[in-house]
Amino acid sequence: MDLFLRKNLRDIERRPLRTLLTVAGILLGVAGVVAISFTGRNLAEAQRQTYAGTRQPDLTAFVSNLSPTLVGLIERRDNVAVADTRSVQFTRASSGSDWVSTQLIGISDFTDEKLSTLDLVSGRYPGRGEVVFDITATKLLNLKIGDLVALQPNAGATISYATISGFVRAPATIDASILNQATAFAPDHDVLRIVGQQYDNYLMLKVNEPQRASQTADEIGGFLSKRGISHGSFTVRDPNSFTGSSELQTLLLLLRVFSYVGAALSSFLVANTIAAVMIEETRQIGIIKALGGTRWTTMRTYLTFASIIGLSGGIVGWAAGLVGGQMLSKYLAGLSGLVLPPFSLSVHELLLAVAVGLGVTLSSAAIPAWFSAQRRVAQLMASVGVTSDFHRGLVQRVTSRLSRLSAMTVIGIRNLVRRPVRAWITLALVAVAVATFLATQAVSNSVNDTVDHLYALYGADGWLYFNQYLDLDFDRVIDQQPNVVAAEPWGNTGGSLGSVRTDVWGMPADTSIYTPRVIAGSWLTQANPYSVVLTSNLASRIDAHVGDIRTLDVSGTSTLVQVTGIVNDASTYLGATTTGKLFMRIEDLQTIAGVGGQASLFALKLQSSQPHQVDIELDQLEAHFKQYGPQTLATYKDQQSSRQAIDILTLMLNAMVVIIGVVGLAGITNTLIINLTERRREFGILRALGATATHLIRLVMAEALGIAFAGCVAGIAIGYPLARYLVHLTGTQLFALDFSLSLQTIGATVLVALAATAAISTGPGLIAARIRPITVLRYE
Amino acid sequence: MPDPDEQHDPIISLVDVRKAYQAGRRQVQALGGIDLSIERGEWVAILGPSGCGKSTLLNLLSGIDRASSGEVNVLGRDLTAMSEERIARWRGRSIGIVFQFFQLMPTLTALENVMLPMQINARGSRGSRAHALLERVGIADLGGNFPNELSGGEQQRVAIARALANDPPILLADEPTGNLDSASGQLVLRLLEETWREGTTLILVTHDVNVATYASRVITMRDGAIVEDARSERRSINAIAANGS
Repeated sequence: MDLFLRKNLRDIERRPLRTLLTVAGILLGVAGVVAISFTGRNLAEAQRQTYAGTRQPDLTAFVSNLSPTLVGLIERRDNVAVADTRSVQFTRASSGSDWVSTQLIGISDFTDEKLSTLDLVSGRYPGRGEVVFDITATKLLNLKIGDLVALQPNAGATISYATISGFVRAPATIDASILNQATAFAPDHDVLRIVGQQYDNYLMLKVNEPQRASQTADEIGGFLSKRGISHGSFTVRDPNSFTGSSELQTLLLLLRVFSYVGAALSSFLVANTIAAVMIEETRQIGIIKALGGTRWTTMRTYLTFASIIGLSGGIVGWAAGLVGGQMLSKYLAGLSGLVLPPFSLSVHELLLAVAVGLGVTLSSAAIPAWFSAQRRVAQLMASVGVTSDFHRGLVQRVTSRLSRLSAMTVIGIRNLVRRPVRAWITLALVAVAVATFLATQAVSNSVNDTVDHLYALYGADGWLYFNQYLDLDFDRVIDQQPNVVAAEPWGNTGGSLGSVRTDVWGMPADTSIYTPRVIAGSWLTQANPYSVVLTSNLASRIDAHVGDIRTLDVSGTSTLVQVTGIVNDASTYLGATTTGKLFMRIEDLQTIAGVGGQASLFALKLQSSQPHQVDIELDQLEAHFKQYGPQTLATYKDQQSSRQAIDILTLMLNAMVVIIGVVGLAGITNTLIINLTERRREFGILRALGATATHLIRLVMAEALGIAFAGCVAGIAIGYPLARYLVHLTGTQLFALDFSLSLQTIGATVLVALAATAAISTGPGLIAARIRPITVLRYE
Repeated sequence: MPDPDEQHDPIISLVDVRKAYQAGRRQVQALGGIDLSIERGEWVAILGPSGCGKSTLLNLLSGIDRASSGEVNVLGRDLTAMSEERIARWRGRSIGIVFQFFQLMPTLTALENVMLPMQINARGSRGSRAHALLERVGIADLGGNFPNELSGGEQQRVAIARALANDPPILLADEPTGNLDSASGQLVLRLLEETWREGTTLILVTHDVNVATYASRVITMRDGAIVEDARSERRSINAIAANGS
């Protein structure tokens, strides 16, 4: 075996703890990068498989009274390949305790679903009087096969009972725990009987040419409106996207950024270790050079050492990354109802692991190796390793007064500047970890705060839908209910401005429920052409300005509209595939949609906004207007589901931050151990002078806290712009975010970093306390 | 000046003390069956060539090292029965050590180095006492200097001041002049003599016969054993220096 290789292997064996820490740092860095790459690839494949394997529809919409004749007519329209229907009802279910919002879906034939096929997880499909639940519903309800569940369309309605025959996973649907809503499937006739309706109300279409799906949606919308058939806006599915995909893509993007930060942190660890090894071996390098070794000989020796560490960390990191990636994919796919493909290896991730593992280690080892190789033999041979010099400077001045109080603290702090390069590297490592932590907190705070601000624009406590059109002034009837403060007729449908699909909202021009944040022009007015107000993201996307005249396509009808204002409202919902919103007067929207003077949706402001009270009041409204087929939705539930989706994003980011934090702490530990190794003699002398374990732990802790504190200060300086960048990045993926990073968050971050550092420094402190003076003085 | 003949109070007692080291697969016998008694106020020089076990003996007396067997009793304490932590605390209070290579903390100034043992032992008035000690060793004006800004002799004087910081009854010095020029060496020996005159028991390890002649008792060691233990009427360093012998 090559002598240099043998030397390297023995060096690794001689310093097991330091080697282990360095390999662990690289392992974590590589594992993070590999896991994120694997998850991204896996989810993209899962999306493809789910779309193809479960026959996902391209267009969906709520349409009242979908008789077989009407479905037949729709199926014969241009570009429609397959039409299928469901009876989708928003009910509530109870398995013996609390009621849980449940989407009850009726399917006519479970063995022959044309579109959106279910995946049976356990049990069997339901027969008459039976029901199957989406398996994720078990997170909300205590459900078992054979149990009897109570189903009730609304509070005042008759309770029906059904036996659970099995569990399914509905493809491409969001986890029940995020939506805070269970999904159940039952025979179509049972569902229709429970809600007292004759026909299905949910239309699903597969089209021949997906690129014309938007146009087809508008045409069918127009077709329905002309026949006075009440329908909601069509959701056009992007084959390359899926429900919640933008949220997942945001998550993956941020995780990717953090995984590269983790890899960069690993490079600090390696640079630190290699630099320390080279300092320890300065004399050895001198001997090698004295024996005729060239610069390259020196470089080769230590680059080989780095390669061994890099390859070890890279390969183990690759394996750990694949395991982590598979777990992450499974978790995320489960949340979005995607069918995960079988585990597969890709050369891409292996190359990535080797490239990051070797690249990080070799590049960070090359610098200290190069500098050491440049030194002359005489310099190298004269070196005794760590310098015993300490020069006057800022640190000396700052700590001189402190020495009367605690010499150990002073020694610890002054030790920091004895190895400035190492101190800087460690400081950078801590700074990046702190900055990342701050940035993550900023992202999650900003998203949360923005969601709160956006929901604050909508003063509605709930929504009341009817399965038929009622007069626009029906709001006066609703207003008369005891707990209703205000009711307004609203409308919502899909539309297009040019090629950009958007949500079209109709509401009274003098709405008291919506608070527009007008940033240009003015709010809605009665005008000709119709006055519309665009959200800023939509205006930006289509380059629209106040005063522009544009063509709006709604329900197959093209109408000229005039942009009178632009508002700041980037509120969205989970799985949204449209861009921004267009607001217009409810009267104008309903006229364009062919249902002038009528509405089926009413926004409600209730006396109490407390969730429990809102539930009671909405139940009472449902019971009161039973004859119109009402359905209600509480705003707080919508907000909760948005928050829960964000919580998952925060959870994942925090998990990544924990990894980065561990790498940062490993860096401090590494530095402390290197310092300890270099200064064994000094610790021995202190022991000889009577210093106890507590004294030495205090000394090591002071050194660690000194680095951590300086790192925190630098981390805050780096963290602020990083936080701004990541919030901006998240905003471009999700919706425009208000930047939020509080002083409390910064303070808490510093405290956590210092506490963690103090905790981990006790390890090296105890090692220092175990140094026996005789072992360092024996050879004096 | 204490009269050794009038002091019969042994403060150090070693009975059949042995010390062996493991050097790879080989066992090295550093000390083989040492019996020794040192009384309060003595100035003992332990003389011998390199590797004879004199420093090992000194390390056993300070509790820095542990005997493989035998009894080591110092100031009434059986060091073989004490934990490392208790020995460390005891050493800080009771023993002053002067090393050949000074062993000052490089990141502390001379004054701070002298204050260090006092702080470890939570002793008050550290600043004024450290200053007084530096004055006593003649380098009060260098208190703000770091070790690398001092000469070898000056560093050893700081080390002596540090060793005296807690008024230890026993001062151990391992080749205190071994790394100094002769003038600095003389100065250091004079300081040690002053300390001894004030009642401190002084045990000094040296391979230099001339240095040993200053002591009131000279113990000669060879191959880990005491081969001679001679008491003599000691003369003052000044007198020896003046006679040139």
